[in-house]
Amino acid sequence: MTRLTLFWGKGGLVGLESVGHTGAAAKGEDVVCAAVSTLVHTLVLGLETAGLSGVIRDIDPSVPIIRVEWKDAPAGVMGRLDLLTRTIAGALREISAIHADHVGVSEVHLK
Amino acid sequence: MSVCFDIQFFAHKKGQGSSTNGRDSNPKYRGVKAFAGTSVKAGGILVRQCGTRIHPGKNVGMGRDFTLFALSPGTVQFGTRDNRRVVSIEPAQS
Repeated sequence: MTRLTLFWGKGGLVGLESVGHTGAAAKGEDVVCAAVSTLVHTLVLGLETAGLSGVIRDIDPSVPIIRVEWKDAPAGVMGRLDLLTRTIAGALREISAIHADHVGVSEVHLK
Repeated sequence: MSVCFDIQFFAHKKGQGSSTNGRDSNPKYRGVKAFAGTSVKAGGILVRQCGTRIHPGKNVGMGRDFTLFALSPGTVQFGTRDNRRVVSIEPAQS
């Protein structure tokens, strides 16, 4: 089961951690994994496209784990990212609702 | 993008199949050790075999493990007798 943790700060989503195999099927045939992987990678791509670097705190395919964090991003960038990050967070919630056995989402609100 | 876009990043590797094969016994190194036309000394081993695939002929002895060996020096000859393969030793001209 892939466990996703969404970290929310004042400006919106400021971090995401995704850990574990979805376990829906073997590599190459796991559509649930494809959906989660695509969304998480798209988030990383979007952060880097917005000019943020060094947002990746941890990435290891053998675990597997991807942890990104951008709470120190300038306010202007956070504003531009908001639509992307909220959309991806919503999509991950939808996938978790459909495939609850394979994807779990929890949300942390940072002070 | 600093990260390789892997859409199967969170997938399990394909089940690594296992096989029940992979065992083998130690080699026994059987077979003909002195071929036709070879000159051998007395006691020289001619054939290592399991059972009498080749039968002893003239001047050839057989050990308890069916090993065929020369009883006298000479030249190795293979032939057949009653539809059996036979090995003999043609004594050397002394």
